[in-house]
Amino acid sequence: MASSIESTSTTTTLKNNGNTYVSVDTNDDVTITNDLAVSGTLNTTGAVVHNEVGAAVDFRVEGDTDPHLIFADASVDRVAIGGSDTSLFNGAGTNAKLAVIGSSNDGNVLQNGSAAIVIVNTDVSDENTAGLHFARADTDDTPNYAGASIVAQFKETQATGQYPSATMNFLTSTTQNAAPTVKVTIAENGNLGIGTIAPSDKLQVAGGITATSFNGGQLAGMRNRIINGDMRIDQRNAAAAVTITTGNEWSVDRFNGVTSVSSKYSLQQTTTAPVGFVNSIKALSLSAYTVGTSEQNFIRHHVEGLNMGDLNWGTSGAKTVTLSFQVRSSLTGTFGGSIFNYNGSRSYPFSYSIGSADTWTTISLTITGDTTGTWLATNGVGMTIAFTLGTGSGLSGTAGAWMAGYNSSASSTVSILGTSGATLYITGVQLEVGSVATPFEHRSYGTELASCQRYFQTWGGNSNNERIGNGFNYLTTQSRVDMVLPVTMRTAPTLNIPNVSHWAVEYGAGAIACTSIGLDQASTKIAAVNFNVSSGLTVGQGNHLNAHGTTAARLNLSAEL
Amino acid sequence: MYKLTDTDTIIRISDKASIPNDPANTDYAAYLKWLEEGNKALPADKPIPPTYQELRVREYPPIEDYLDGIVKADDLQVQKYIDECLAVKLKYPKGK
Repeated sequence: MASSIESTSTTTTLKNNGNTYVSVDTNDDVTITNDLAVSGTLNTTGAVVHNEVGAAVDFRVEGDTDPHLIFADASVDRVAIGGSDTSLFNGAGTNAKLAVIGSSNDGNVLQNGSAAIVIVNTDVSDENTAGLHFARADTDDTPNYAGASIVAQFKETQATGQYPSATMNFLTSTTQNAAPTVKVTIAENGNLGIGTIAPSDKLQVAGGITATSFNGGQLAGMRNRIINGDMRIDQRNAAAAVTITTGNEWSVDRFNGVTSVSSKYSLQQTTTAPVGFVNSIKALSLSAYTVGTSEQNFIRHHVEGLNMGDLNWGTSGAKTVTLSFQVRSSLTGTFGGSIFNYNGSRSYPFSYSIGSADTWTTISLTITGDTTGTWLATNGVGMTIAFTLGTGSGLSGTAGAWMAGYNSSASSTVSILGTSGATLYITGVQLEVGSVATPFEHRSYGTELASCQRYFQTWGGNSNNERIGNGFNYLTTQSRVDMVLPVTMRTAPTLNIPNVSHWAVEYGAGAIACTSIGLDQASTKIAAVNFNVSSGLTVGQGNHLNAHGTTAARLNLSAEL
Repeated sequence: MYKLTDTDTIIRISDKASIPNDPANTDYAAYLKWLEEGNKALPADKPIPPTYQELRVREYPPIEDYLDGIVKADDLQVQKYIDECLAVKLKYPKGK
C-alpha cells in the first residue's frame, strides 16, 4: 500500500500503508500519531503544551552529551536539570519540584562545577543584587509575598573579567505583614553580623547570645554562685577526715556536714577527682545505719543572699538556674538532694541517677526559679543546697517541684549511711543562671581563697614563730592587738583558738605564752583581740603576737552562714 | 552554755570561742535563741584589778620633763617632776 490522503466531512487524514499518522480535524488541529522529526527550526506562534491530556508522559531536552539536560518527570510531577532521577533526596527534599543534578569529583569549592545553580544579574551597576526569595501565595494568589530571602549584593560596578565583591544577606519577615529585613550578613571580608549589616569584627552580634560554651570553657567570670565548688580550699582540716557528730562540722570550705545522729559518716577533702579537677569532697559511711523517718544527713552548702539577689526568687521574675556537679559513689541508683530557703518554708527536692558504681557521672539539673516564698538578698542565707547521704521519708518530698515546707531530700533515694563503707564523692558544683550547664568555672586559687575567707579565716601554721600582729601591753597581763582582716568578712567573726598556749606575746625581753585569748571587739574588717598572759608585761610597751614555737598554732575567725 | 565578759562579746564555754555582739553572726544568733529558750549566761569574770605598778605607770609624768630639767640645769623643773612622781606613789602605795 502506498501513502494516501483521505478526506471526510470532519477529518482529513494522511495515511501510510493504511495507517493514519497525520489527521486534521474541523478545528484545524493536527494530530501526529507517530514520531515527528524536525531537522530545521521549529517556530511556533501559539502556546506549546506538552502532555495536555495529563498522562504520565515525560518531557526531556537533550544536551550535547547530557541526554537529560532538562527533564520533566510527569509521573511524579517533578523537573530535573542534568538528570532523570528526580527523587534523589531521602527525607527532607524528597518532594522538591526541581532537582539540579550534577556528577563531579571536583573538590574546588570556588569552581563548584556540575551540581550548581548560578543566579546572574546581567546589569553591571554597583550595589545591585541577585537572590533567592521564598514566598507563598496569599488568598487571591497575587501578588505572592516573600517571607524570607537570600540576597547577594554586589559592591561595585562590574569590571570585565573580574569577580564582583559582594555581601551575602539573609532576610526574614519578623512579623506578619512585615517585609523581610536583613537579619544576618556576611560582609565582603568575611565578618559575620547578626542583627547588624556592617559587622566590624569576625562576629558581631547586636543582641544577646545564648551559648553553651566559648572555646570549650566558661562564658564569663563569676557565673558560678557556688564558692569552692571544686573543693580545693580546706582551711580547717588540710584534707584530714572530719567525723560529723553535732552537724556543725566543716570539711572543705563552704561545705559542712549536717546530721541527726552522731558519728555516722565523715567528710574529707580528697584527690579523687574526675578529669579537669584536682579535689573532691568524700562522704564515707562509718557503719550500716538505717535512717529514721525524721532524720536527715547531708552535705550542705549555703549561698549568701547577697550572691543570689539578682535571681529574683520569690517574685514573678524568678530566674531559672542550672545546678551541675560531678558525682561518684560506691553505690548505684537514684540519689537525692534539695534546695531550700533560709527558714525552710520553701524547698525543691531533686534526684539524680548514678548508673555505674565508682564512676564519675556528670549531673545537670535545670530548676525553674521559685516565684513564691521569701528568699533573702542580704548577708543571711540566700539558699541552701543539700546533697543527701540518708534522709527519712518525713523530711523528703517529690523530686522536681517547688513545695511549701522543708524537705532536705527527694523521696526514696539511696542512703549512703545504709551501707558501711559506702562512699559519695562530689566536686565541680556549679549553680548558674539559665537552662544550660556550662563547663565548670575554674577561678584562680587566690580568688577562691579570698571568697572563702569572707566566711572563715585561719591564722598561723606557716612557721614556728609566725607573727600575726603587733600590739601593746594594756596590762602587765594583757596585750591588745588589732588584727586587720585580709578580706572583709560577712559579719563580725567568732574567734576560736584551739590551743591558746600555742600563741605568745613577744617583747624585748622574750616571749610569754598566752593563758587565754578573747575578742575585745570585732567588726567585719578588724578583730581586736586580747592576748592574756600570767604576768610579766610592761604596760605601754609594744610587742608582737607570735606562734609559740609551733606550726600547730591556729587562730580561727568564723563568719559562716 | 555561755559566759559574759566585761565587753559585749560572749564566751561559748564548750570551745571557749569568743563571739561578737552581731545578730548576723550565726554563733551570736544561736546565743540569742538560747536565751529565748530561758537560759541565762554565766556572769563575767570579775576584772582583775590593775597592780599598783600599772596604776602608777599610767599617771607618772613624762620622763622627758625630768631629762629636760637636767639638761637645762633647771632645778625647779627637776624637783617638780620628782614631786609629781612622789604624789603618784603616795596615791598608789606598794602592795595595793
